Amino acid sequence: MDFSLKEEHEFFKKTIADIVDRMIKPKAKEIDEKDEFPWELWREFSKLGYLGLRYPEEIGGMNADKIMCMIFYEEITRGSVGFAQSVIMNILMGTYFIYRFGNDSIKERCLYPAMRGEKIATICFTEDQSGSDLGATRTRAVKDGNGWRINGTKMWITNGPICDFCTVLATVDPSLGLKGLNFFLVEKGTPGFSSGQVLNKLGCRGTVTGELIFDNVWVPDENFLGDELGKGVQYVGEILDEVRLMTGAMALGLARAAYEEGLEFARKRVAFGQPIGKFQLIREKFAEMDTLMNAARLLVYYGAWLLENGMDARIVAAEAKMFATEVCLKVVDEVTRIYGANAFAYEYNPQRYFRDARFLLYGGGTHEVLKDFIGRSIIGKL
Amino acid sequence: MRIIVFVKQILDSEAMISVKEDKKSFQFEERFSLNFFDEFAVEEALRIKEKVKDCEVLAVSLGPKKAQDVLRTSIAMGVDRVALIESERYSILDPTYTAKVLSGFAKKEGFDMILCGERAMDDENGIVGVLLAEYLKVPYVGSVIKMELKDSRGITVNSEMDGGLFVYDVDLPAVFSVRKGINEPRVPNVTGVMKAMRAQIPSYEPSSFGVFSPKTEIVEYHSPGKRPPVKIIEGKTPEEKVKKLISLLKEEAKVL
Amino acid sequence: MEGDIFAYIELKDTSVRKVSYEVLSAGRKLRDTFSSKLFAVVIGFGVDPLKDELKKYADSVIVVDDEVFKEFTLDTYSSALYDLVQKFEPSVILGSHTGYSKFILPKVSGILDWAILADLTGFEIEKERILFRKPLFGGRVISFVEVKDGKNMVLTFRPNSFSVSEPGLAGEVRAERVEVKKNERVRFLSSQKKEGKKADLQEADFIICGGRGMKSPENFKILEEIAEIMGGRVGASRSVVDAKWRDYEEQIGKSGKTVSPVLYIGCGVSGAIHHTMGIDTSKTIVAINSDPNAPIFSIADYGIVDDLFVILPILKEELKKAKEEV
Repeated sequence: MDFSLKEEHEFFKKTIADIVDRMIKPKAKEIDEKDEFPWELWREFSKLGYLGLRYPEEIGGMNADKIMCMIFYEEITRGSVGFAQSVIMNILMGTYFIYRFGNDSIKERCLYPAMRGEKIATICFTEDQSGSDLGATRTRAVKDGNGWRINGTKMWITNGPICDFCTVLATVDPSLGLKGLNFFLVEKGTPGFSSGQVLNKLGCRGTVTGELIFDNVWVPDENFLGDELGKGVQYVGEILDEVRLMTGAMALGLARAAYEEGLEFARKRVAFGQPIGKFQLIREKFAEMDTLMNAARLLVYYGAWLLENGMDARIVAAEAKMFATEVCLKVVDEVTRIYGANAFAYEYNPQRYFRDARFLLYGGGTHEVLKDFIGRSIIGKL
Repeated sequence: MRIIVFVKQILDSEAMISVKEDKKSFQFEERFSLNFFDEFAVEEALRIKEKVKDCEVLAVSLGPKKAQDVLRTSIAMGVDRVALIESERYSILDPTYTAKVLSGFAKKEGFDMILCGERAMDDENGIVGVLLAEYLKVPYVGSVIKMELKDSRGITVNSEMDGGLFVYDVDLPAVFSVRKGINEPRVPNVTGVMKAMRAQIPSYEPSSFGVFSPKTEIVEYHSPGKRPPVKIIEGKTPEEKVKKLISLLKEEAKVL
Repeated sequence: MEGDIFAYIELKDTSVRKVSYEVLSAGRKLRDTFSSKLFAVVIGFGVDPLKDELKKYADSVIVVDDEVFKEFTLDTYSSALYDLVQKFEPSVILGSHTGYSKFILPKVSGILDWAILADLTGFEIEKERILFRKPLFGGRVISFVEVKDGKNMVLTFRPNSFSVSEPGLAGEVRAERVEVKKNERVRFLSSQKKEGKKADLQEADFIICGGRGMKSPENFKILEEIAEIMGGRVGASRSVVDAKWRDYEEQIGKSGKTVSPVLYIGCGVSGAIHHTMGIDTSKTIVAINSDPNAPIFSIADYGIVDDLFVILPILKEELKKAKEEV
């Protein structure tokens, strides 16, 4: 059993961490305060070519293995959660189904530009009445000539209002439940496709999250993303583990950003004549945080290792997402306590980490749903 | 044209260091990074390479196996080749020793230009560059803030020293030390990183360039003295605070 | 240690630079301990008048005054110094780790194949050996280094490492002619000297440093006024230099200059470690910052938590008064 990262992975981690420290971390506060999509930083960063992380070298990607992906997700989130969400959307969920099912012309129009950061991609699952309950999806796709007509409204879409194209989950027949769900590509400029209300979020500010409206949007057959109808949920399953582990990795990155600042503060801040790091109860906090973070890291990377080696990662991925998120929530909370009243000021970072951490509860499945899934899987069919 | 850039892996400025009880050595956290000023040297070499057809940039480091990291970073930035002159462990070396080993390598390899960062942040010497030039019997200009290649045989450099700005015409081969501000080092892109991750780094024995005994030796290490905690000056008004400060500086610190 | 001592004199325009008096003082200590002869060596153009001042600090002043030294090229100065070493056979060459000396002394050590130690901050004379004090890792570790042979060494010192000893010698003056080897492969084209009135940052006894908290380059004016009153210099944090508000020459910190003034005042400087590394050997550190949690307070001796724009004008008046009282 070898717990060390391979040399190339160590190097990759160091390089990305350095890029994050130079380009992204210094802008994190501003991104959060302005709550606007950071176009200049996006352009600067995309030019480096890392948005093609997961895709083959032949098409301009990095062919990264799952460990490398987690390293990347973790480091970039450590820099800025808002920015990380946009980057990761282009890297994974916003482009996966295009890569998987899109024809050459679609890839030329959407995938390759997204890999270069020239186009913003996103994916639409959530609706007003359906979050975890995909079966309750109401957005409807009806066959219309040599294409499909889509009607519905999607909510909570990351970068929806500024996206150049999106992958939409729609049902072809509500009575089929989950088996009616399919993915379709809708591009900006298609008549009837518009963005609606933009949300004012507690955290992950810097992404433009909002409503997408599909009003009689017609797309040609080639925009149906799949081999056959009814396999939408099955296709989600192809990346679900990675998405959950990715959320876990993001939680690790955010936790570490908060933790490192808390550590520096504990070493420097003086109260009652000495650095607060000398007090036992402050030391206890670090003992707990470090233990939990180590455990979370091991679980996330174990899941990535399982995935990379073609083994069944479903349970571990769900556990890792859940555990790492809970650890992150605890760490950002503890760091605000270490900062004392200073945590209450927007001037310091702990409040931002505290706010940003909440989103981890939603992406990749709520913990209530995940626990049920894990429990069910373990106990088996009764 | 061949440009050799000597790069050094040094202890990260945030790494924890403590002097051992016996004062004969110091413990340190294994956190290393590429010497800050060397990045400017690598970047400058790459910019010259971009302007000149047929130019090879070779990054070389004298250090333990771990120093391969900084060579990989150099590859990720875009250098063509790298080499490690492998020492046993990370330590502060006698500068004449370092310069002799490096010049031995440069002589064997051949070069048109050698670039160095103006100083290493661990020993703060900034003298290996001059020594290299002396051992290799080539011209040296330090503190270079601007370089303009005239042709494959000559270069015009601007050097910024305490007294001002100096412009020299130099015939190659030559050695230059570059200072911060000469350029903005590039961030490694995906192609560079992939190349760096796969690279096989050749390793050389320092003794293959000659056996040199260091002329100086570190005999003891001490921790610097600790400063007492700060006295925050209280006062009802800003005027009161400033007056208190001045009197403390006069009477207590005795610096006024 | 045995043998005579050369103290290489660094100039500022046409006067002796402050740090060279410190070097002479270091040389004096060695001279007194080992009964060696101390030479002050000055090479330049129009430097002859300096002999009168220098002879108070050395046993012998060697002056090389020639037009060939009007413009600085490393080879002319180095070959001149080398020639003098051949003639007078010192076994120790001292200088400052500044300006041209930073390059001349190492080059000469290379020609001679002597030991070289740079950026030293002192030395301790023991029974059998001298230990030279050399800071490492931005001052986080202090090393003590020995020259194995006990002779044939070139040593450069950091400014503000020695107090200047009282003049008290009556040196003879020698005007020397030397073999100057020009290097045909390096041709001096032009130079632009910066305004020479102010002392170099590393030699200043008083530094008032501005950080991001100064909010704009115009606000540095009051810092300049205070520096003027105190006969010191204005310093800048890295972020201020990166923002191009001040020149890199004024940057204090890890990638800038390490300073050791008698009094350092940081205004609106947060005090991140890469900056404090550059000031922690200062005698007294004062910080003015409106943020009570600014890291600089963990290294400062005195601090005022207040709006620096309110404090600075008051500070200027009070310092003026204090200076006038003296």
